[in-house]
Amino acid sequence: MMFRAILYVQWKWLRWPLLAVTLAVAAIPLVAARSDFTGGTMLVPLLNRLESAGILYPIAAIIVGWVVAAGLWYPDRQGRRVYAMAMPVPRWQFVLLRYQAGLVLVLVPALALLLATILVAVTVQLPPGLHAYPGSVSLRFALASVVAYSMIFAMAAADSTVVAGVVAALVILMLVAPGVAEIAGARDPAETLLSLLFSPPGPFAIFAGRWMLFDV
Amino acid sequence: MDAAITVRDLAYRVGKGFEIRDLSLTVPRGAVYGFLGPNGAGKTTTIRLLLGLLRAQAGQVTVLGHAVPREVARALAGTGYVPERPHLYQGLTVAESIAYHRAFYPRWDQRWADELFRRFALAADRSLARLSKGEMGKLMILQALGQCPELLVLDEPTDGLDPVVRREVLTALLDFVAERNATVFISSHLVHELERICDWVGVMDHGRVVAELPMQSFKNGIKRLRVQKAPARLGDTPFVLLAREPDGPLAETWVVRGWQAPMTQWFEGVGATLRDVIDLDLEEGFVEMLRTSRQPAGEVA
Repeated sequence: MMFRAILYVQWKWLRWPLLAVTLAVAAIPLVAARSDFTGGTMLVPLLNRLESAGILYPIAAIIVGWVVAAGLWYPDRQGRRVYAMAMPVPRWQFVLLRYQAGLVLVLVPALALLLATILVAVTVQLPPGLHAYPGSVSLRFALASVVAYSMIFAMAAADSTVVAGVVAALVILMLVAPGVAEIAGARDPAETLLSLLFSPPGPFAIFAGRWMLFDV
Repeated sequence: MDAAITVRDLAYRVGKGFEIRDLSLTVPRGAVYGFLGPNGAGKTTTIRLLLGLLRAQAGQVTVLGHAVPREVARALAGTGYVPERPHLYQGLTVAESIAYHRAFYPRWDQRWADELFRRFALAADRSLARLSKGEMGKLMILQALGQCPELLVLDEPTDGLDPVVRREVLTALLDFVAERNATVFISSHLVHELERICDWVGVMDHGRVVAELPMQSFKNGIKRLRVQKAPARLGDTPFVLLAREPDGPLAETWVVRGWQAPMTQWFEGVGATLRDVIDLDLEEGFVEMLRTSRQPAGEVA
């Protein structure tokens, strides 16, 4: 009952931005494969376009995560979180309910992407050896959206001083650490951190690499 | 005494400008407790501390038998809260806001909520962003009463409302208290309003409680006395002398608390003459009490 109420409220205030990002996400494969709905398959240009469009998926996933996570807490910030804090549920449970409702909303663009990629996959005639991966691309997009959403949700839900502290620490790490590491003759800690985060099994590895709808 | 709210030695400080110190109060179950104080006295901060919206630096708070902040969710389950400023989600309609609120309170009384909805003449499909101040006040009261709380905490609930809406809100509140025997903790600087509805009163000023007593004692016990030939130095008095001012040759006006008729004899004992005993209304008593509490210790008597 509480979950449904929270989900409804979040849907109510996020529905227009969510609709916009959902349409944008679904448009990525459709626009990339546009000429191939009407006539013969120009395979190489199609693959080039799909590869170029691939860079848009992680960006779109971050935007989806940001729209949902930041939007979830916006009405509470308007009321200085008094209403949320006066609810008769433990704070962790309330935040968890919010997070779960946001997860449902995050999956809406991923579902739209699945439908769009399936449409492209059944429309384009592929030569032997090439396969379409609508499920993999959509699943990867869903996971990337969830990672982005979770990160931004945590920041939006946290105390502003904690967020400021984390951001300040990261900025210092990025700006100061390379110089210090060079003087000390050590490995740059910022580079190490980025490598840990963006290489498997780092949490942001899902954003890196190629996102191909058609592949061997 | 069974208490709905107990606060002991509460301390809270934010920055250098404001602090609550050694704050203690007791709200008996079933009481309508008026929490009086001028603007900036710390009433809203105290309420937020009671409800776990702020963390105290020291002291103990118990609400409906639950320690706050440790068991704040249980305390809030039985507490209806109407804050000073509207806190509900502006993007919802009235009906959606009520439905959302209802989902969190298993004891929600739909019959009572429907009755208030009709009485307040609210429009179900009106967006909260378009509600007038009076309509928003009614909606907040409706939601707080609909959840059937054992305790209502109202922070200046009628501030800024027109007299008609104010009366509607207070009538609904009193009906609820009469029917459910709920406890009400209501803060206000509108003294006359509290005088009509409260049976206990606590007075706060500059972050501390300066008095806490039954309303009847507060109203009856504060008097203005006209005294002649009063001695310059007073020993022990059977009442509390709040203020003392010259009022012509050999005459003085005193404001006292805890007055009872047999105390007239005390004046004969010290060689003074009591000319007149004048009743003060709550507002005058409140003002005198604040004036006294702000004087340096020992200045009065």
